[in-house]
Amino acid sequence: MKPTKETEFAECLAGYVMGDLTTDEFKEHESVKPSAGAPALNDLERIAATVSLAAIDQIEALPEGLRRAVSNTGRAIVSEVATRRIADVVELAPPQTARVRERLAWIACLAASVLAFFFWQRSQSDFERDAPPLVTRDSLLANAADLIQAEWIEGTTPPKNKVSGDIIWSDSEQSGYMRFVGMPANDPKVWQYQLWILDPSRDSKPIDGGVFDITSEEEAVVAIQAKLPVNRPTGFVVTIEKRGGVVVSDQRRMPLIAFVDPTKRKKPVSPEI
Amino acid sequence: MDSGLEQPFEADEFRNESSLRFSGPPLMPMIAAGDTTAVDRFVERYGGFIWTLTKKITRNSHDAEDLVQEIFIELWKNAAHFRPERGSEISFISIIARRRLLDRLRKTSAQAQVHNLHEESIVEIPEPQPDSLEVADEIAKVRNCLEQLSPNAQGVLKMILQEGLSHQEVSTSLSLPLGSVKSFARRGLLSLRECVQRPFTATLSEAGS
Repeated sequence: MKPTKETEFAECLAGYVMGDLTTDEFKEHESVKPSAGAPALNDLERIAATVSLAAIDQIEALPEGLRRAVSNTGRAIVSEVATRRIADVVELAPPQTARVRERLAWIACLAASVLAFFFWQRSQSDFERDAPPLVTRDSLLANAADLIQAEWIEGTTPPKNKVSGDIIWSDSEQSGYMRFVGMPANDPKVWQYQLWILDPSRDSKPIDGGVFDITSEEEAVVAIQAKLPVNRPTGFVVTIEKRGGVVVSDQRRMPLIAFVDPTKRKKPVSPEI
Repeated sequence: MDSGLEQPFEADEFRNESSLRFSGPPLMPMIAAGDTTAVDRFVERYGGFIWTLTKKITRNSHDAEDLVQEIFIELWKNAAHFRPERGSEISFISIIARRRLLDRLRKTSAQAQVHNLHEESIVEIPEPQPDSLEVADEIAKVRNCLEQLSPNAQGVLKMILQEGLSHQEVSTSLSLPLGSVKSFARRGLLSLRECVQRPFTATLSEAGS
């Protein structure tokens, strides 16, 4: 017996849920209007999911590093949801609006930056800029009028031990430093750390901040080697890459990230007239 | 490779589901409301389950780690679509997990033409069944219905949905043409749906006979 259009349509839906529906098949049946008794896509998805569930008899613990990573990302994203809700409320409270909004903008930026980096697939520019930093860290801390400073937090694949430290950057000096305490030493013959600078005012592509080595877990200060001019960074990401670094990171190993709180960003001092 | 074809479900399996009973009120509504304290509780409650499920359907720890992160991001972003009155959190999570897995397969599949109906990725939980079932009961019912399928349909569904095999791998393993694998999978799923929607007692009675 020749299958009816409805039967074929139902099989297409099932094919979609089973992962084998082709676009040609879909186009052939998309004009079919399903009857009241036709299966709903959600019903089929639910049943397929339940079949998968039925195979689970023992639950294995989520690996610790992965647990921390999903929690960190989750808090950032959920904060951004809260941000939107609170932003609606603070519209009604003018005296606090500016401060709260700045804070909220930072939280939103944090979540957006995490997501942007997760889904970043674009290539880096070939432009190279390996000039050494012009100023020392102490000098930058003492004198940079537009200094930004951000603490490291755990990325998606954090080190086993707690790592602390921060990153500083000055747009006007085009210079900055990373400071780590407890960062695992790398084997420079095999793999190296690489810094990426998130600067949405310039481009959606992260800027290569240079490849670097850590020789011990004691405090280490590393100069940033940005390969492109940096305008207004919103975040920094450390990844683990093969020796020599990469032009495009696959983002599989991302031990640390840092986000810039705009409320703590020093404003450049206007020159006196 | 073990196809699972020669291993009928044992009665004991129906009682061995305590690991899928999660206590406490749903956390998705709290997450949808922006309560960050619910994030850790959610990860604590469901993290192991998502990890286990993902490992099972990807068969690769590295892929599973990436997929787990994608699933969680999808969950955080879609928390507001969860309706406790329509189904359990565990079903919601499972559906999202499968969608993310399929999205990944579509991106990496040699079948570049595989179609994606979920471009907008809006998750809706199905309307409640006439007698809304707990997850463990639903699993029991699905298992029971699986047993009533033909050996080929049963084997194909188990290999794809429980062991994470591709259609091509199933075809090779069962020495069936690829087209037959697709047919068994599709028709088997539709038959399961029909069976699951029948009243529980009728299903049990049929199984008994």
